[in-house]
Amino acid sequence: MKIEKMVWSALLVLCVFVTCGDACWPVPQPGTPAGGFPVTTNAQVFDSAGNLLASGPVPNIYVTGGWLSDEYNEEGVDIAAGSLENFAVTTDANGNAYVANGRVNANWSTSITWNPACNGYTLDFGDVDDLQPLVGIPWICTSVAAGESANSSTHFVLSGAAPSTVTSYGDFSTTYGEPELRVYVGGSAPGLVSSVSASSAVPGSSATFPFPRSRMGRRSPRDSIPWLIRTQRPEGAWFLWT
Amino acid sequence: MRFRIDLIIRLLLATVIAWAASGDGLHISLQSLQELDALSSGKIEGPDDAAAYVRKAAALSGITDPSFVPDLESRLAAAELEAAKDPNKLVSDERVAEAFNLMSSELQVAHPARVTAADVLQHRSVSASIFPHVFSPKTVSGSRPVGSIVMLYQLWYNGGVTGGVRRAAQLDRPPGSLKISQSGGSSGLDKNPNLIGREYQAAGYAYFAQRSPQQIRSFLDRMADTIGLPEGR
Repeated sequence: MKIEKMVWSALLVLCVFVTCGDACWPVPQPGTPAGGFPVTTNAQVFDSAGNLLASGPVPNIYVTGGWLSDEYNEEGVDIAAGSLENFAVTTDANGNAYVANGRVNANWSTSITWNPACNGYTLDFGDVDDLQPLVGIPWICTSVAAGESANSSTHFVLSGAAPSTVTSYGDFSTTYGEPELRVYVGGSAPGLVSSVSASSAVPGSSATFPFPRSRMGRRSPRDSIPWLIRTQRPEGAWFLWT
Repeated sequence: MRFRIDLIIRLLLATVIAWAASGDGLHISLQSLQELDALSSGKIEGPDDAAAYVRKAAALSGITDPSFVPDLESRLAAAELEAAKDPNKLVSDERVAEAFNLMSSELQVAHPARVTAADVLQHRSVSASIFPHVFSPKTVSGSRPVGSIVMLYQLWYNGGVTGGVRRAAQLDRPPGSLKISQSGGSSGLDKNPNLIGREYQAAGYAYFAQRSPQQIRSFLDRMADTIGLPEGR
């Protein structure tokens, strides 16, 4: 009799637990100015022009955070709110977690353990300045989607008969500047010989450059001239085409 | 005895709600999307192929127990078979747009993103440049049924069509022309998080946490009707 009563009590508790929704456990949600914020783990794919092509969750990722300091308004008043100053969460299948009562309008340090690794990163760290309730701590793993390696109109030329231009075909972007062709020399002292910007470009398709010149300024180098093309990305980095 | 049965039924219903609200249901990471694309390259020639494809696609999308929506699985399989036999049975962009707008309304998103058929065409043509077997290129009149579900998930996840997709659509890349590369990628904190997408996700979580299984089932049936899945058998 006693056991049966305990079983029914346990079932009742379980029933209440699974039916009480937000009141029982914090489902992912926007934070509030009074405290609490989301933690998200997402993956994003960009093209070489920096356009976000696709995104999706990175599920079940372990994220930690530690409060560093509060933010103050112009009058010197502490505007932070929320009592929780340390957390460790694992995001759910849709890459969401929620830090109930986490301190907002404050500065935080955070770490993430990517599993599987994100582009070789397993453990990463960062700081969030002035953590906002709606944004929270948004970790991302970015990748680039690119076309096949650039292919050029000219592969071999006769000495003294080099064309005036060379056209390369690839998913080039001009959003952040013209593509640039860089010529290298090998041998005992390898290095950059020259660089030249495209004289014309069709975004996503091709770019035409003045034919590369040797260190001496001649248009027809005696030996093979390895080159690569690079295009600038929005954050200032360069995307290399080989 | 009557109390006991009532409690058991209540417990079962509550478990379903908890499952739906826990985030362990439908979810499509980019890694599973790559696997789904490989799966979608196979041919569908008969009902068994279609059923197996839908079951595997559901598993890759996090639906390990399709018994919650038994009709949906069979309706999707029938639709996949029909679409494989007759391109006129593909899910039109208009239907996908209508289903997304219905979702926005049902989830009561505070700032709903209205999506048109042209938006859906942009989204699938850009997505096809990376995942050509799940998403139909712009030269095709519509989407495979599983592809349309995946697209609805992505539109929900992103809160509509993103600016990056709109810009990339102008480049008109061929299907399968882009490959995801590990080089050039990074880990970090997002400096420009998608708040509309967050709004949609939060609304989805709240919806599944607060609605009854019957309400959820009714909503999913309306979504299936909107994208034109054949009636369950």
